[in-house]
Amino acid sequence: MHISEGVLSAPVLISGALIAAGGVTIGLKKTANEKIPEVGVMSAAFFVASLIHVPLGPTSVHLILNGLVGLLLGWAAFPAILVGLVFQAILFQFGGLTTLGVNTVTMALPAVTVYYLFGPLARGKNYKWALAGAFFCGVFGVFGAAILVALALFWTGQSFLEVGKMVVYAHIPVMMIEGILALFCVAFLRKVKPEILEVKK
Amino acid sequence: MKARSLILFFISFFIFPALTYAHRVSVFAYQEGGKIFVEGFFSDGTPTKHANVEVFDKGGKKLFSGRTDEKGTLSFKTPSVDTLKIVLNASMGHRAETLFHLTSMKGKKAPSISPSPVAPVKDQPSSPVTRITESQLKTIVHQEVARAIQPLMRAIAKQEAKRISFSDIIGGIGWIIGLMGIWMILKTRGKR
Repeated sequence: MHISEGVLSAPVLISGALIAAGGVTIGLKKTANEKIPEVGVMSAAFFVASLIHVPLGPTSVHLILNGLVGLLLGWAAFPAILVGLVFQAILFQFGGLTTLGVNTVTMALPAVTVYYLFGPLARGKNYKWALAGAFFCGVFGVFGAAILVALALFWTGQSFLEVGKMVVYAHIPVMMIEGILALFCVAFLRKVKPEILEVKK
Repeated sequence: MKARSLILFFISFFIFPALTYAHRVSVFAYQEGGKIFVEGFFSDGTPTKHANVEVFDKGGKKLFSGRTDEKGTLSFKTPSVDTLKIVLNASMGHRAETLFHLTSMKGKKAPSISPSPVAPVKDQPSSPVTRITESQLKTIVHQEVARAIQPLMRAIAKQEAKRISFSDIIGGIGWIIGLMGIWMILKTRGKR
């Protein structure tokens, strides 16, 4: 999902950076002090998740974990993902420093979206629906990121439908894995530490 | 007990990726028999099939463009420039580029270095051994060495691409924890 350096045009890069800056600001402001360690842990998890390569599908893909990050952190997903991306770019040469903004948006915006769309479900009283909500968080986090990547590439002159289809298809295995992963996380957290999820009683 | 299993749960995030490779596109090139071979692969070793490859000279003029085959490779005739910039565009915004310096085998260098050093040997009785001028010899050695080290070059290029080390991963996590700590200090300072 990381767009490399030198692919996108300047306007796309700049607008990506601006949106990312806005998201990070909101994320930093909205985060309560007690939540900060959680943001750190999720950022670290996001950072290493990209090393988990999924050997299915037509191209080389890896876990993203943005859905789970979004579900647990809400707007704080923006700073968490940005920090993870910075170190992925520096240490692993994933993406690049100039594309940081765009990459942050493509992964963090769906994260925040699933937080609002499926978060209430995953936090709700009904256990089964909560698991379904978690699964959707995982799936649509990746799906949203795929759509946004296609959109970013589209503004650089590539066919949206073609690229979009390809990115989505390539990530179907990842979507499934992340959905199941998020499901297990929520099941686990509800049992062990429901405070993290802020489960309604 | 609860706390411990929670910690274990998060640690499990960090342990199993140590066994896997990651995701980045690399491209490298080598020269053989009047042709340049370009090869691209994701850093887990999968070749970049059907990726777009563009080749530029130093000034940015496009010399060649094409697509890689099923094995992620592509070849074209060696152009007469010193340095090539090879850009590979795999799908989904993955891009890699490399600079390739051509070893000039026949061209400019060889004749200028050898201003007929073989000349004084003329009056010797001509032997049945075929004579090779120094520049020819150089060319042959050059080609043979290039061929011999080619698998090495490939191996090195692939190695470089898989360079993500355990210490990088641990280092990154350490950085993130450190930043989190700074953030907490900044946020909680003065509120006590």
